[in-house]
Amino acid sequence: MSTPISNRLLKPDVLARLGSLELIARTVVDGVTTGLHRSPHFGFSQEFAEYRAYNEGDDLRYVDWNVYARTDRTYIKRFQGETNTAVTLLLDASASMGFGTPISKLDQALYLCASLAYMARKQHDALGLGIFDEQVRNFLAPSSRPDSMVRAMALLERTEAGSGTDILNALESLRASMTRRGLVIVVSDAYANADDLMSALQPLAHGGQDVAFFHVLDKEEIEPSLSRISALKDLETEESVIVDPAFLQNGYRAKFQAHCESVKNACQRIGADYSQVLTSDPLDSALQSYLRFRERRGR
Amino acid sequence: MSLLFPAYLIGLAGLFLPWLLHRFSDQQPEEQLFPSRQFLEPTAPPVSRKRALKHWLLLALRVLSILLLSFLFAQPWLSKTVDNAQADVHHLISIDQSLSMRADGRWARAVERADALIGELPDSDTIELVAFARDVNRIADDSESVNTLRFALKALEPLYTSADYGVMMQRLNQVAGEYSQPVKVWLISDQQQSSLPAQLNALYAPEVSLWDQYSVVQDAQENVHLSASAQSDDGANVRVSVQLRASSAQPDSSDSAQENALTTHTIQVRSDDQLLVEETLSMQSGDVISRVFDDLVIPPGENPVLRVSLLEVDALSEDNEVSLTIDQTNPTPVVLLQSERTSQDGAAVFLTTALETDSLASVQAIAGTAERVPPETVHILAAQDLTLPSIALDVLQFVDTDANAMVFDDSISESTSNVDIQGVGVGLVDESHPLGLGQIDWFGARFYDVGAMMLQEDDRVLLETDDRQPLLVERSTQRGTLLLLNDRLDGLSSNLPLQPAFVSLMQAVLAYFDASTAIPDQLIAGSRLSLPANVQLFDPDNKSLLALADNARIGGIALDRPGLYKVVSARGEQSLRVLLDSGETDLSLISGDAMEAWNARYEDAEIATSNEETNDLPVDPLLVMQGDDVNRYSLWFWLLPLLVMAMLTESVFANRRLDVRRDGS
Repeated sequence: MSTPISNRLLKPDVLARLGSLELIARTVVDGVTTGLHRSPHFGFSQEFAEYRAYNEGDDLRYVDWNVYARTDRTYIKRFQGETNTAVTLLLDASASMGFGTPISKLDQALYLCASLAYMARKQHDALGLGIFDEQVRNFLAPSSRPDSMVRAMALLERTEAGSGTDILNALESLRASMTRRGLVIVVSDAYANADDLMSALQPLAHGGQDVAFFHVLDKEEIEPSLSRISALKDLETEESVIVDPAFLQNGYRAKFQAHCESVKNACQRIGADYSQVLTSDPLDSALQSYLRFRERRGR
Repeated sequence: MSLLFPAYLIGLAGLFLPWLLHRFSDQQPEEQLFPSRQFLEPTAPPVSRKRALKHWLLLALRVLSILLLSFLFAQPWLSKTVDNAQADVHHLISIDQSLSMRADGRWARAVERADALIGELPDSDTIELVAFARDVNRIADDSESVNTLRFALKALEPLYTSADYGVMMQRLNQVAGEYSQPVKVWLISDQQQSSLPAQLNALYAPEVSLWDQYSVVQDAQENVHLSASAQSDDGANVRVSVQLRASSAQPDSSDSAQENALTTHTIQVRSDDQLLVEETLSMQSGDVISRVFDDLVIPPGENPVLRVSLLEVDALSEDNEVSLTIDQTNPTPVVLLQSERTSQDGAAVFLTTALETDSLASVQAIAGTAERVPPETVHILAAQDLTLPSIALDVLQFVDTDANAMVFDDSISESTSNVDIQGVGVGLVDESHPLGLGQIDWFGARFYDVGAMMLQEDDRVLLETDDRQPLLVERSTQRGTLLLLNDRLDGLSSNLPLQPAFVSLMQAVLAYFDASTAIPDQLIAGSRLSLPANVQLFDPDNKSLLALADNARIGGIALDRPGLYKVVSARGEQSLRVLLDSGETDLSLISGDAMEAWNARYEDAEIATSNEETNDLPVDPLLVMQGDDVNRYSLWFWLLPLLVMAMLTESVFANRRLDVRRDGS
């Protein structure tokens, strides 16, 4: 009897104790992929995909000499891992990402990015990473070099929550750098107007990028549990707002839910994949969503 | 309910604190971090909500805690209900019945004052007459009629014993505790200094609500106490030692110049009508003079009695004459029981030599059993085989007549080959025993052949060898004293008889025997005399004091009257002098400071009572503070546990109820 995947994965607060992002990524990805190897729908590097007739210019290393010996024809053996896609991770490291329990949204986002980076490298994809808040703080252009994951991991390890968010400005700045078509994975809490977000992501989608949006949220910001009148201090602007718990119970929840829906709709309108990631949940559903997304896009 | 310290109720002002805390605690909302204010709407907290009290249970607990704390400091109390509502006050008229009250005019004034009080006191009050000297006697009360009190008062007369105000006050305290209504003590005494207790605390009687003292000393009085003893060393001449102690009572109103005036006193020593010696001395108050009259010829006759007297009359005539018998220093007779065994010859020589040193004892050797011992003998030495389980019956029967015996070993040594040439020394010594064995130097004593003595369950080993063999044992008996010396005293089985320690041991044994059976030759009046069985006691008038039933049982008797008593037993006749307490004949009065300290406590209590505009009972404030007053129930016993419970509940409830965010978000 197989064990559910969610049970095999460690919860975020347990992952946090592992310390090294790379170790966390290996633990998460290995946990997810262990159950998926038998599935014909998903494949990773070195996994056979199809045979294709040899054309001039093809690398002779991939000629299946066994087939040639039997049939006297040359075929090239293709693997899923040789998709050669450029995967660019865009991580929102604004101050609002510092909120959350048991771990902050930024921590959860870091684990997710690290896992995605590790997974990409296993498929020999070119890996790129951009970290932004009000502006782009760091950017690694997609690269197939073996050390691309190490560099990305090092960058992620150093990342801390910064100041405010300007996702439009940041994506606009990055758009010029992302000339190579591939996958763009945005990890953010999306504190921006949905229309603005759509206009920021739309050029990427129109530029041939496949966009996946991971909306990282904390349960406390979805359904605040405050029972008394409190002054809530905005992490980004540091302004306080006195809020009645009655409003938090009703009005706020409705507005926030509507915002999430609008972000989701905006993603769908531009053909981007939308996934919600909670800080209290294991990363398996997010990674499965990513794999489904790649499968759909045939990359 | 009343409060002892109502000022502490000011602490109730602290009730505002929890009220304010609960009413305004939410005015400043708690600041918490939040990811973004994008979807938040500022809320102005409604006014009604601001001012509303919150957490009612917590508030109630806090208010209750402050209330209890304030009341605990204020010390609330409840008055006990008065059972006998008809009687307002119970009066205890306490008359000093001690010897000093026999001084000129004192007793008459005391009776007069008591009689006047009985007439003056309100009919609604109850009266009880109490007399005290060594102890307190409840004489009569007015439950039948006031005349009962008056008859009882007239029948009273002063005793010869001393008084102790401390004992008296504590006893009166007990008596007062029996009454639910206030008790007033009227003390009628001569306020004698010597009757004060060593610790003035003993004078405090918290059960006594009201207090009045009356002194019967109105004039200056002087007294000289005479004490004397007579001793003869040779039976022909007597030496009489006399001591005079002068004292005076000087009430404040009298002329203090008289205190230091010299007075002359003439001492006479007589035998019947014959004047043996006379001397005149000059003394003043506080002087103590001793005189020794040597070489007075003992008058003819058996047991002559000397009378020493003072010729001058003073305030207390009872201590101006004493009768003396002549103490003669005779050696104590001891009987040594000898059997046919020749081996005891050595032992007899050693024992006789040791006991007759310093003429302390005269040893008489008698052949046979203890049944042949002369009737006046109380100490015997006997040889027995201590390796046998029990002592000979005749010795035990002798000891049972309140006599003393020391039994030494006369067993035959089984083999000379077992004799240890080096011997063993003395090991454990019971230094707690009255024999004082620890003070004897046992260094040279060696034991070569110690017999295997049979010990019984209740035996007390007083001395043993290094190898834990018993040497000296005290065997418990119903009466009398029985010592077992596990040595043959032949000089061969041990060198003990040859050591100086042996003489010390025998003298210690003799002194121990004497102390266990001797009747004292003098006592202070009022003391209790312990008597052995089968004795008769005659008072100075030669009247028998013990009935036939008393005669047969062991017990004691209090001798209150001074004079020359006679104790007659099967072993002969002995004189017993009962003397007056020289402290009691000292007429000095209590100093002003001590009197002030004594009375001040009750004055304070009365002032405190009069200040309270209630009908509650007057009490000792210190005792009230201690929650120990008989007229009041202090409530702090109940308040304190309630306070503890309220505070604990408040802590538990506050910790659970308060919304404390512990995750740091």
